[in-house]
Amino acid sequence: VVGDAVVGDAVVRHPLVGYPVERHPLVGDALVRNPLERRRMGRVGMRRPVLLVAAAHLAAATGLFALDPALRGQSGLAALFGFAAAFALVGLVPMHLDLRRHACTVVLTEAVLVLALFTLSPLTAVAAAVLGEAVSCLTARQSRLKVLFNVAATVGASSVAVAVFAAAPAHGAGEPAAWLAALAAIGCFALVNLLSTSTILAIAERRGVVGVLMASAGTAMVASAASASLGLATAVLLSTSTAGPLLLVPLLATVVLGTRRLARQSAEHLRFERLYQASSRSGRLAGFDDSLAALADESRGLLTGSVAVCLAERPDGWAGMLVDDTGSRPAGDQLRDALIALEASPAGDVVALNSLSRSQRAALPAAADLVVASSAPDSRARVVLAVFREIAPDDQGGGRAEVLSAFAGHAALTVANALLYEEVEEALRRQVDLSAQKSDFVAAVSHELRTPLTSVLASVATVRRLGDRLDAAQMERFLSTALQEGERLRRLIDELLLVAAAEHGGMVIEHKPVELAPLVRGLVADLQTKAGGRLAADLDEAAVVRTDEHKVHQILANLIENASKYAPEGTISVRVARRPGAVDLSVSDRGPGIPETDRERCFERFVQLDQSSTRRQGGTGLGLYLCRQLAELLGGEITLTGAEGGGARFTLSLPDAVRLPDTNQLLEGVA
Amino acid sequence: MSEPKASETSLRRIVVADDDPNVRLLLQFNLEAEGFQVASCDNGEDARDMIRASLPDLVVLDVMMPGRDGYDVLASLKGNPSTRDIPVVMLTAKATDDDVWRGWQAGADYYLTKPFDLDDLMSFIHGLLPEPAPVPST
Repeated sequence: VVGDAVVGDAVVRHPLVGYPVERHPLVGDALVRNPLERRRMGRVGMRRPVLLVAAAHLAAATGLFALDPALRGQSGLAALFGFAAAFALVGLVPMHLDLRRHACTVVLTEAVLVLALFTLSPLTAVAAAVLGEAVSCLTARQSRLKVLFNVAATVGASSVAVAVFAAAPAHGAGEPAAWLAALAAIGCFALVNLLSTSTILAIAERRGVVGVLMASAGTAMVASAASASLGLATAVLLSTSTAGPLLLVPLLATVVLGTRRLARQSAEHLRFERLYQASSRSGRLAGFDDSLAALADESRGLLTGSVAVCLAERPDGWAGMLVDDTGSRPAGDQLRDALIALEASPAGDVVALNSLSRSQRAALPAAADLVVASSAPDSRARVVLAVFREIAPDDQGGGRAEVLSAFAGHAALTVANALLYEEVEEALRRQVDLSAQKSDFVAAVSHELRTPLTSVLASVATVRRLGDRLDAAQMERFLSTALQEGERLRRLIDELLLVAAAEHGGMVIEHKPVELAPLVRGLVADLQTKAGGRLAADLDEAAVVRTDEHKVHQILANLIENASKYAPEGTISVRVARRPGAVDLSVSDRGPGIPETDRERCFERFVQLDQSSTRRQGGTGLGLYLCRQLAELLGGEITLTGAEGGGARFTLSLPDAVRLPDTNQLLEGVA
Repeated sequence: MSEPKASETSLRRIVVADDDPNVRLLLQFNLEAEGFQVASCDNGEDARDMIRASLPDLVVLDVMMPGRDGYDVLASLKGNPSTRDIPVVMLTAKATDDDVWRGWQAGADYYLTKPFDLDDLMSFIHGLLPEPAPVPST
């Protein structure tokens, strides 16, 4: 409650410091200009400074009364209670005044105090002031700390005032010397109040006392002088006739009514000034979460809330950030859902928290007042702003809703920008990734080409260097190494060209109806010798697919060759089977199989799961990658699963199984 | 991996680490023809252990090997006082400027990219081991 609330609802009841911060000309204008400063301020422990200042007041008062026995005289109880009521009344009914550039609210404590000085004994005057203050504070439901401070400050300041007045030679309302004494007493009263409130504000805002004092002294003194003059005029008029003060009523009414509107307009002006500042601060480009946090923070500053939340919709759902004294953090799901459920209007709503259900309230931060606003339905991004205030609702709620609504419009723009920024950044990142992948690929290709070339060149060089010292077997070995590696190099180059064509759209795909059974049968016959007679075909004779025959041939040949290389033993079955919407061509072996964790990886470029065996088999690391590229070009897919008996099964699935001529024509028509 | 025989310990010893069996065989053959005693292995882990155990006169090291790569082995050799002074020739298909620079940084005495010239390699190795192999009396 302390911390912000000290500033927000003013712990103190100096005539100028007794209202919520945005209506406070001094605090609003000079003390909390920048909400970011307020955030830095964080939660200041106010209990100790408040207690210290209060104790100083009480000590000063006790000292004064102990030193001067003349101050201890007492007046009647009726007078005491009458004045206490008057003090309480002026405390509860602040007067709004427009003092040149600043609208301010004056509490007429000084006026009543002047009357008390002339009418009551010093001790009774202090007692009445304290009693009135206590009543008005308690009626306004201030926190205990605030009440303590205000009462103690009244004790101290009014004791100083009565002591100053008592020291004067004249005390009658008809004597000008007494008038001067009364003004001096009120001056001291105002000064003591100003010093103690400035001290507390300075501690709360972490500013220098002198700065706070300079910002408020002028207006405070003018307001105190006005209030005191009014009291003095009343006292002087009373001394001539009990009906005398009635002469002041028309004057007072004019001032009160005439300035009330001005004061309100001024407060509004102040709010929009802040809105402008908040908008210009939060408009800078930032990440999505940072933007939300900045918007929440600005909203919180705008309405002097304790907690503020900014929600925004992004493509994958609502996200939100919450800002309070301790900083910003993501808003929880419950809070987010509860705020969205309020369905705030773009014009802004003041929500009475006690009108919400218990479960709704449980999801929200504890607060006295809640203002929510959403962006307009046609804005570029959907945003909900919510500000929770610890200060009790008052007649300015509508004004706050309006400001928050205006800010929500700006917030939508900021969020839209942040989303756009994120999109651009993401696109850039993808581009960078892509180009990194490309250069990785070039480096990998260089490595893959160099490796077999090294063997070719080194073999040939060895034969030339040591030719006469080699026996026939050694010679044969080096020459066959050169040939094998040269062959591997050739295949690598072929496959690289195919990969380049498949990746960059340089490959022509000819779609026409292909009967798969004859195609596979031919392929099995061609590769049977290479596979050591281990190939077995299981064919659905009726399978016809609209696809590119050559590409299917390439894929299957590659898969069968792989199986015969890496599964040295056991039958390799090639199967063609139809299912609704697709035909599956699978090649299964009885080899060692591929662990589940490696199954996706083996389709990547230059990934060779078992390098020694790959090298032995002259693999290039591109075969399966190329198969997948081709399958995708055909609109199908290629998957790797385990086969019965622990082997590997590669399945090429091609869409659009076509059997009937009429369907075929239909599809041709569509194509 | 071929262990040096006791009778040949007087010869200059070279450890060859390369995961390509062709390259390993070719290097071994050519180096032995130059009068070196050669031990070879096909991965970084074995290379490090072998070098630490036998403290050879020179090391020919591939970069891309399964497990511990050549940079790793090089760093661990150069970081160990007992192996710090053994000359290392990096022999690798990793040929970008960055790779070469990284090899030099890691303390390689020569960085040759594949495909390499056998004559060059031999002259580098002789340059790093200038004295003729002494044959102490046994």
